[in-house]
Amino acid sequence: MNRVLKLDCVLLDISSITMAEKAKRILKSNGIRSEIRRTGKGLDGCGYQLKIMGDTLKARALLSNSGVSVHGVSPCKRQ
Amino acid sequence: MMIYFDNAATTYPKPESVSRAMFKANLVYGGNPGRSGHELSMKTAEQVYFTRETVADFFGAQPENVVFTNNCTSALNTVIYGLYEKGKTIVTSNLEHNSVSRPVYNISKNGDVNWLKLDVYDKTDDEIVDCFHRNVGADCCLVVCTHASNVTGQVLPVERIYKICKARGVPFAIDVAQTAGVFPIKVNVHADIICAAGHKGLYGPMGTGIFVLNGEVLPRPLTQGGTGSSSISFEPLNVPPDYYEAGTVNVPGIVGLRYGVKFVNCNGINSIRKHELELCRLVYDKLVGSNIEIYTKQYAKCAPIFLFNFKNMSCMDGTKILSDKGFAVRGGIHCAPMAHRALGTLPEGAIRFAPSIFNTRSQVLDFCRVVKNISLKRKE
Repeated sequence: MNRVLKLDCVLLDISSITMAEKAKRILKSNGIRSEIRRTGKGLDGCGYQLKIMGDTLKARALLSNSGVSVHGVSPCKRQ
Repeated sequence: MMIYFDNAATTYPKPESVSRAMFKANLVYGGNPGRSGHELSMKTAEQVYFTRETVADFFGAQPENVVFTNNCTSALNTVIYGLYEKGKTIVTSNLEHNSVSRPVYNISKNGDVNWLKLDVYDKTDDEIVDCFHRNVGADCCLVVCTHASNVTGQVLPVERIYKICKARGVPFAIDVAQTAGVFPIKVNVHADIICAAGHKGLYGPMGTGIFVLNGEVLPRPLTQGGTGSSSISFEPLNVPPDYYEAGTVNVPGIVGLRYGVKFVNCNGINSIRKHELELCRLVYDKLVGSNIEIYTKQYAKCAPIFLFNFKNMSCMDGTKILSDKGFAVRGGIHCAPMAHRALGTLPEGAIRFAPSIFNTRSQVLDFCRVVKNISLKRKE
């Protein structure tokens, strides 16, 4: 059975800096805080992650509706 | 102080906000955007994105479909080389700038494509549309044409041409070097791909250009290299803008371009066009009947360009005399030999007057007075 895990902090893998910036702006206009991080976990090496803090399910739905492709999702690590 | 009427080559002066933004970009946004991941790099990337967003809004596109280039020529080259198919036909008008005609010629000279040049000079919109209707077919891989001639100012009915291309599944790209910032232009309304100079009617710095995609027609990239994404693979990430922006982009230029587009938005495209066309009309009214040859036609829809020659004087001599008297205009072929051939002004060319939002009626009246004096002296 598929379970949707609702987290208050996730990392979304996004292929390019432009799409990451676009995602950040979409989320900001919907009151969701996020920040962009460089990662080595892209499609073929370098890519970007969007760290989302807040309603992560809503965030993913917003990005999906705006054509922002998310290539992977992982929970934020506790620091 | 020189009075500048060579704005079809590049606008001058630029808005102060453009210069200030470029200065700040050099001072503050020093990281390489999309490459390094540190704060300076990320802040710079954000600035580049802000321009992408502003330009996208201006042309009715998505930000990721705005691609930065060095100029309109490099934008057009990418589109032409990226969409041609061996054995097929590329259709252009006969008013094209060399930024279109040279790459198309280069591909066609070895027989890789057939180049079909349609005669649109001085034709009505209906005649032009009919001409494209008759000549765009399944054998075409690309239709690319100017929105307005940089020599005559004649505007082509690109919205109607686009409908023909779309119905026949042929990609349509337009060169809006002379019309961006002067006429409203939207991707998916006027063309599949829009190629523009950043440094003309958009009032950005020289060394900036763009092409705007509709997200459906994707040319092959002209250059490959580092993009900061998918770096392990020899294949670049095949999504715009990364696909086309190999190498470090011109950050100060791109930031400056944003303030140029904002300047156009603040003044309003329609107000800018009205002002510039009024100045062209004023030149025409003041100089018609003088001892000069006027080539500019009073079309219902026209880009702000006035083209003339002194009688019995080469256009280069005329340009030099005007320069000595404090006026910057451009003489010659304007990199558009086909248009001059249509006009009958080869091999010398003609003198082009092209105003901007910064020019005034008083400057234009001074210019007309000087032109009349020169022409009278030639007559004596």
